[in-house]
Amino acid sequence: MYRWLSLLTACLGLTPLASAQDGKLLYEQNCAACHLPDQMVVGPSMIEITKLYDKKPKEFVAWAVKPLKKRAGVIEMPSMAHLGEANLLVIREYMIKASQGLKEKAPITKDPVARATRRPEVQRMFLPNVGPAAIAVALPGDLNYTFDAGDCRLRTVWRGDFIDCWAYYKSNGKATAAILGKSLWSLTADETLQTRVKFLGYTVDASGLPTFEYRRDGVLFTEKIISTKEGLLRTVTTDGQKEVVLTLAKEETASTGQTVGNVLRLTPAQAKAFTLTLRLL
Amino acid sequence: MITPLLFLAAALGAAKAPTDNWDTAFTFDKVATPVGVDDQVGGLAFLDDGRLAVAFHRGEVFIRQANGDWKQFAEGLHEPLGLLPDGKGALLVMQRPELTRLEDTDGDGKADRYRTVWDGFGLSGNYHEFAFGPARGPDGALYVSLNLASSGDGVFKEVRGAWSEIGKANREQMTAGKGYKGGLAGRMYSRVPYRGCIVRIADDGRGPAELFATGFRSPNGIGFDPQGHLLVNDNQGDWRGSSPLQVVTKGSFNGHPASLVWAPGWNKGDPLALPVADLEKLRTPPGAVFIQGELSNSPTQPAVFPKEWGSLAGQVVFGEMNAARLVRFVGEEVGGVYQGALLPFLETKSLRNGNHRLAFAPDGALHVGKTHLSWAGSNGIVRIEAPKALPLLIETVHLTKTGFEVRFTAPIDTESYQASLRSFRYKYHATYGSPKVDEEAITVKAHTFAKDRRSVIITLSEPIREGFVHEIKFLGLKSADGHDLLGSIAYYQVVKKKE
Repeated sequence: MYRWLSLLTACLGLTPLASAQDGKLLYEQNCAACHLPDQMVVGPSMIEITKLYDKKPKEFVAWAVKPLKKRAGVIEMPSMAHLGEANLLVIREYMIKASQGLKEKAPITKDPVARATRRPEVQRMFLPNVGPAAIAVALPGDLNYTFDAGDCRLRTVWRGDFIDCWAYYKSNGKATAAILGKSLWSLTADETLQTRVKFLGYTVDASGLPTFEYRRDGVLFTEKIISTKEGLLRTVTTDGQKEVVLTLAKEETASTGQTVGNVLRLTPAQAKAFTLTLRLL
Repeated sequence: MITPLLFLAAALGAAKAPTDNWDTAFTFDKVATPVGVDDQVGGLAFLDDGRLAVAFHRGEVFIRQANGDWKQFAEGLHEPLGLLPDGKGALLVMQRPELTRLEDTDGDGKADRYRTVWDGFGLSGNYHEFAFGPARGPDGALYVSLNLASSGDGVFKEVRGAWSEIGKANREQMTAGKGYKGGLAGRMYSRVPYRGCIVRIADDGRGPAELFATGFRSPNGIGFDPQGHLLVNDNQGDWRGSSPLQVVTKGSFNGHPASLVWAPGWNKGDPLALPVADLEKLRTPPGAVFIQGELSNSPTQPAVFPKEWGSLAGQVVFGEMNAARLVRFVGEEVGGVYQGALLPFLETKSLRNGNHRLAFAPDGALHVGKTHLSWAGSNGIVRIEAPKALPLLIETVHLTKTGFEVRFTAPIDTESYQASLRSFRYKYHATYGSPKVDEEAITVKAHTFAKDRRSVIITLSEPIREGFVHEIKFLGLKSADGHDLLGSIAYYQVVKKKE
């Protein structure tokens, strides 16, 4: 049961009027998440913006309506056209007032949680000279490699430090990580392989070393890669269901099977367990 | 604009300075995170045994033990953005390149197997191709959502997945380092499989995987409500006048055209070249809209309130990246369409920005994990205890044939009651965002209180407008025992009128 209460219901119909108080509110709703008063974070600080647009209200509005990408490593601001010129001007007035007397703080330029590489260590990342689904591995010693989960191949090897991902982390993934150390070996891309393989994942042993699992031409493979005095030793197993044919790199030799030119042929029995030695050192 | 209304309210003497706020009604505590870890949260979940599992930005997964210590469970993942417990000793995690099952097969508390559950989608190497989920459906399937690529950058020379030639820019033009001119391929683009789509992976991930729905841009919030609706939100941008909440059904097109190229049997060429009117006919409109600036600029994961939250139990709450606020959703079925209202929740600086992943602890405490990924946001985890008693809140909003019925969590002081209503909508277009358009104040014929004063029926003088957000705002409303209403505004998206 509802009972009627007569209430004055105003059809207010008020035209929105921007005021100084609205400037603060509008700034908090639309700008504050990316623009701090006194420090560059996602975008430049209030101090810097008001300096840039000192006595330039028209230019300020023009930028906010149609922002462009100006600074390297900084994302483009979305258009604030929906706010309209009057509101943007009120925001500018507020910014001028709110930034008065503030001093600019230095932006963060170094990785605040940088740490030493653990060896072994696995890190999936955007990396140079591989596909976007690559896995970087730091081995005990000073060798590192990438295994590409897209084509299920060992793709690059380098000697020295592991990877620096700070450029990736600070740019929401726009930059690839850097390979540290000296490049020793790489395979070129072959996207046609993608239709022949299926990546199944990896296990890690007690020390953290990965063993990759994948299917290639219907054969189930595992592959564990360790470092030796000469370079890398790849220990491979298959389910022994089929003959296996592999293309060897010129630095590569096999523990068994028949090698003609750069083509290795393994009988189903030979393919059950074999090693590939990659001589790089 | 709030100011003139506040001024009017003050002039009428109806509004006294409020004494209650979100900080008096709730507690906000910082949760300690593992030392030395970049504590931006990509995934957050409580295990069956009550322990908290968290996936962090740089690829680590930690589990907080019963004694409070964090123990590392996994590492090396690529931008994990979703975490779902999957039985004893196993966690599903959605990372950029794949959906992975982390398994602790020897029971030492560390994952020793990183099993690829599904990686049958494309990766162009574009930074914006984030992957979200998984959400577990009532059908036992897993659902994931895949971002479009952004014209902020091109693609890698080598991509994963079959390249789509559909679009104005060719692959060579779009390859990073070739001076790709952003925008030629569309502001957001889908050139490798299923970007911008929802994919269903049957049988708890064992498969097969199927394309479930198209039409997304940046669907960083995917989950099911207790009634089994698949709720997926999206981020304001091109084709997104303001961030929508889509109630996703199989085969639906949810508004952003780029992913239509992956729709089964698609034969209409470049979807970005289609007339807007054609796309409008194809699309499922949003069931609710996150009002830009007022509710959310970047909505995130949905979570369902447990029983400890009293009359909110079973309702859905979303995170918001750009403001110190969460957003509640109260939905209902009208004429075969699921639609409803979004309301501000926990709107206080104590919450902070960057509200990315939400999970309720076994004791009902809401845990909010933060991130920023170099955009607006924050880091760390905030814990909000389940309140002993709810403050005065809008509990539900229902559409009636002639207006709305609003229910509150406690009896209200009808003397303090004042409401103003208006309606507006957003443009559906390729331009980034939209102003509110076709805005009109709504005249109310009557406000009718229920006998128990827990609800009010608002009868409008004019017809309800389909396709419009209806804003219902209360001014200075108090409970019968003198407490202020918190979250005093509701935005109801009328997709369908009540017949």
